[in-house]
Amino acid sequence: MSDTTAPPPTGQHAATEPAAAGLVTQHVRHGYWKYPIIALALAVVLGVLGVFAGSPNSPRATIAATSRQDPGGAALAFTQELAGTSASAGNQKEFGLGPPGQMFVIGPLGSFAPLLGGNVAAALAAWRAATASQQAAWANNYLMALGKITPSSMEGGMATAMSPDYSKIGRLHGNFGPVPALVKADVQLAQGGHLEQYLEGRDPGHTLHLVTIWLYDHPKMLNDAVANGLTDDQWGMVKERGYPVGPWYLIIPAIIHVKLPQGVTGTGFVLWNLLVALIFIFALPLVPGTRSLPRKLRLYRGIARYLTPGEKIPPDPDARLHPVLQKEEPT
Amino acid sequence: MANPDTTDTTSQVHSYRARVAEHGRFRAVMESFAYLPPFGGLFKKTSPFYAESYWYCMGGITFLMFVYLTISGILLAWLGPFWWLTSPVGKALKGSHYWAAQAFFFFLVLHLIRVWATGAFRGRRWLNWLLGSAVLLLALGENLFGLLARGDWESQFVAMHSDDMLFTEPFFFHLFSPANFSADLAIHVAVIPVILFGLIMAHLTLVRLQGIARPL
Repeated sequence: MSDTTAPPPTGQHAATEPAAAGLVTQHVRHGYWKYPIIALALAVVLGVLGVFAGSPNSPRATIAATSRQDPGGAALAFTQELAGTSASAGNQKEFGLGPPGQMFVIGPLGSFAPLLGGNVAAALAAWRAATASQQAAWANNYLMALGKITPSSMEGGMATAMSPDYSKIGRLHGNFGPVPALVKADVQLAQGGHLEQYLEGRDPGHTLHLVTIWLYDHPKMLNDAVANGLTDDQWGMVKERGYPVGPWYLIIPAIIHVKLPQGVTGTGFVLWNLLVALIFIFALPLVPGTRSLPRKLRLYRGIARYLTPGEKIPPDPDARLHPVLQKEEPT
Repeated sequence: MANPDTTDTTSQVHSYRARVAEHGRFRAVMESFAYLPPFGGLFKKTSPFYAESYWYCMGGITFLMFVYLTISGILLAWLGPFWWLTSPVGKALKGSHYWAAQAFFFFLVLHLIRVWATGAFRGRRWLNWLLGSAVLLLALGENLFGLLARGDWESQFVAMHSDDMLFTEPFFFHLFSPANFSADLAIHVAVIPVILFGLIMAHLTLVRLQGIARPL
């Protein structure tokens, strides 16, 4: 507080000369004694909530478990990675990932080739010897063939990606080159947990980075999210899996994404939120009209403390001080 | 009690004995944290009568939640993700860290309503409105990184699904991926909280310098 910019209050003037609307501006000793009680009560409440309500804790997905539960989805992911049509292919520049086909299929198979048998080594050699257009043709042919053993999504169901039926994968025939052998071997690596180990070792210090990127190529992660209502167009930003209380304070950013036509993503999302922030920071407190709203609404009448009938104002302890030491009255 | 003929020093006015005489021993002991060194100097001893309502405590309770989040967060970071995801004690502490974050935003919103409804953003106090807004926006970011740093299924899914929305390509010069758990944890634990603490301290300092605004 600045002690010199205004004349000091004279003793109990506020008690005898109440300001307009009964606002009492005299200082009193602040009720700090309540703070430890509030702090303790809140600590107890938070502790009890922590023990009995807990917090969202769905076990993280692993490549091994996901590939065992849905090997067809793993085969689809590997084929899309070889064809360059996977989700990760769209993010390879952003993640510093390089071609996903190399990172998730050719790289790990090359590393494990001595353990995987002669046909895998031969398939790898055939893939590497082929031109890029030949590789893409093989992978795309196999992708189309996988579509034939993929059940169509349920009537009225949400737009989820279905996985090919892995038990029928051996029946596919066509000009696939080495792709089926590569995919099958990589599914085995994934199911055994070796692919996850390879990816973690490939990217040390970036825990789970490549693993999570691959898991999002597999249809299961998005399907689980859709089933739990967690995608962004399902108001997923304010929900958490198996847990009713989510980040409710993200409702305002989420409105912008969920409710605007076509949704808003990327730079648009960031710009829209910056606009909201600017309105909040500048328009609300500064623009004539909006800045006067609180005065018109008079909500402060229910917020500030007023004297109740018969209540006496305790003396300002600082009134005992020498005038030089007394503080100014806030205005 | 006030005697215009005699004047006391600040230490006499706010001494333990004077406070016991005013309100009794219980209150004097309970409020001692605001009077004794080393933290006593941080607290202003009196406030205007109009500000003696619980609405005016919401900012303080928000800060209290920040302190609780810091303490529980240090313990969680110390013992690590495996502990907080598997041990019953770790899960409970993670749970209360989660609820403290919920409470942080709850009380922050109440504080925001109080500041807005009493017009405490006017004049030079707009600077503090700006600082408070920065705390709110940065706390939302801290919350997002906390979600990414949990290390469970939700972290994995949000890291990938929110990627196109929140971490657009030009961001972070292509150096950052939200799927990188190590970076998420470091940002949540060691980067944003430090900035938040600085902003909150500046916010509190301005409250001390400018005083508690008179309601409209």
